[in-house]
Amino acid sequence: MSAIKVEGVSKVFAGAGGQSMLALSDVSLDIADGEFVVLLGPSGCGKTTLLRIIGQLESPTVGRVRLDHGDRPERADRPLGFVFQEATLMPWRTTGANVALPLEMAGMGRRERTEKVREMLTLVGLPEAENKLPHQLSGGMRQRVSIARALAHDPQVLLMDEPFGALDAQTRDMMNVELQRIWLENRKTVVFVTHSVSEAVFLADRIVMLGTKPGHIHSITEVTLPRPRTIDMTESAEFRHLTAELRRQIGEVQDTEARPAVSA
Amino acid sequence: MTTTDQRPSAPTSPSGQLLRPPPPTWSQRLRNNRWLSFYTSPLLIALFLLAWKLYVEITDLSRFVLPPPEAVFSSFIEQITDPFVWQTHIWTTFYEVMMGLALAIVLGVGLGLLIGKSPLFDRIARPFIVGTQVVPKVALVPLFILWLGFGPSSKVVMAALLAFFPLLINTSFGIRSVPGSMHDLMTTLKASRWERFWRADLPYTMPFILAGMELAVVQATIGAIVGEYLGGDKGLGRYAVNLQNGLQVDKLFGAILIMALFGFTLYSIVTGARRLLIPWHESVQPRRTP
Repeated sequence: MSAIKVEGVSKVFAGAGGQSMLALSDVSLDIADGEFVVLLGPSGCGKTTLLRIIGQLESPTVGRVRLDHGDRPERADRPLGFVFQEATLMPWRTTGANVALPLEMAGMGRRERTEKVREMLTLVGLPEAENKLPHQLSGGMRQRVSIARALAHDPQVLLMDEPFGALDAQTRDMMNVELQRIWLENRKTVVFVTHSVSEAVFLADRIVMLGTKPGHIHSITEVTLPRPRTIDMTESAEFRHLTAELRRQIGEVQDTEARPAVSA
Repeated sequence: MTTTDQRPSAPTSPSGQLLRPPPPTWSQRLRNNRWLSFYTSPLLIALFLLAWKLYVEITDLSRFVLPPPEAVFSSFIEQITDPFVWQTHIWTTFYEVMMGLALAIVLGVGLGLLIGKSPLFDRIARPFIVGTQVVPKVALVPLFILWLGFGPSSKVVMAALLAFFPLLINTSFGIRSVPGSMHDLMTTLKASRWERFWRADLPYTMPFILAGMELAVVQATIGAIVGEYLGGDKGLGRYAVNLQNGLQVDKLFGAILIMALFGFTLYSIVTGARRLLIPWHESVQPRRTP
């Protein structure tokens, strides 16, 4: 059963000087319930735009996105979980209050909220940070809090836009392991944007490679490495074979001659 | 429970030598002393008073030009304990400043939010707002007095007019600096306009509004007092004019001191409000000096 259906989506942005810029051209994609899909591609391929369209932060110029709630229609009006490049925590709220934000907005009672916040902070490995202010946390910790917030209201779909892009390499590896653990615990449908090939291979069930000018689906790669994957596995022949192949493809789509932009 | 030394043991080098950070230099220690201004301010004031006294004594200046500091001090004590000064002058100016500020907050913050949120409104309204600011506002006082009389209302309008601009500019700047990702977050959480405003925009703008308030409270005081100077029957400005006309120079100095204390008190209230309203903000957090 597919959780997200992207059907013939194109997106045109108004550019400078009355020119229009085609960011995405006729993208169709089915994402299964509980699947971990990574959108990978060079900068300018429209991967973030596609994610934002799935997350209803942008509307497609043509085509549509359908979210299928299966046998749980009550989820239809529940917000999606979104993790941004920056943690986007409210600096005046404590860690706990930041995680509680979506619950507050859904009208959950105080006691229930406190319980849920503790559960979420424990899930992301920060049970002791509840009363700290965001500026007292490290970058990695802040991003964990933002993951806890995105999962707090039990969304069906978790959308992540290069969430670990601003972290150093070691923290990033650790966060990838953590994210996999969290995902294995609750099996949300995840759409994850990155331009890091090894991050994509480490996390994904399926990697959707996007090409540039205009953004389109270049290839789809299944990653069948067993789970839970470990950092050691990134040294394995299979892992390296996959990353080498994907890097070659990125080189390919980057070198593609620019197609002319559509004029307004 | 046994009491043990709670201090963390100092790190040691491999050879067992105790490692300590270099002792702070003389100027570092002075700089980091939080009571520093409690010593230096009285000292500088004392030096100033001494210089004043010496100047008056040496030049044998007339009391109608520059009275000696002790005469000013005794006048000041006399004035500050006089209920008439409080009821008529201090209270009037306080009322004018507060009403002017209230008016400026409603208009300045209100319009600031509107301008910050709507680029269209900004482009339409800005020429007029800038227009009102380039007019030397003191020149408008006679007009306000003509319209509103010698009573407090003309000063309230003056105070509001001066306090309005810093509030407007800071508020509109503040609301524009709410990060785009914060808007995205509120969108993904399906926030209504109202929720968006209360939960994200307003708290983000609060430090900017309070920075505007710091300027506005000073401007409002200036506005009220200048208004009283140029035409009024009560208030600290009027009081100063009366004293000048009566050649009571020592009391005139006292009145100026009262105005200074008045401004200082209002300013302190705003800085205090900062700690209360935005305890999370960097400007309020204790500074970490190396």
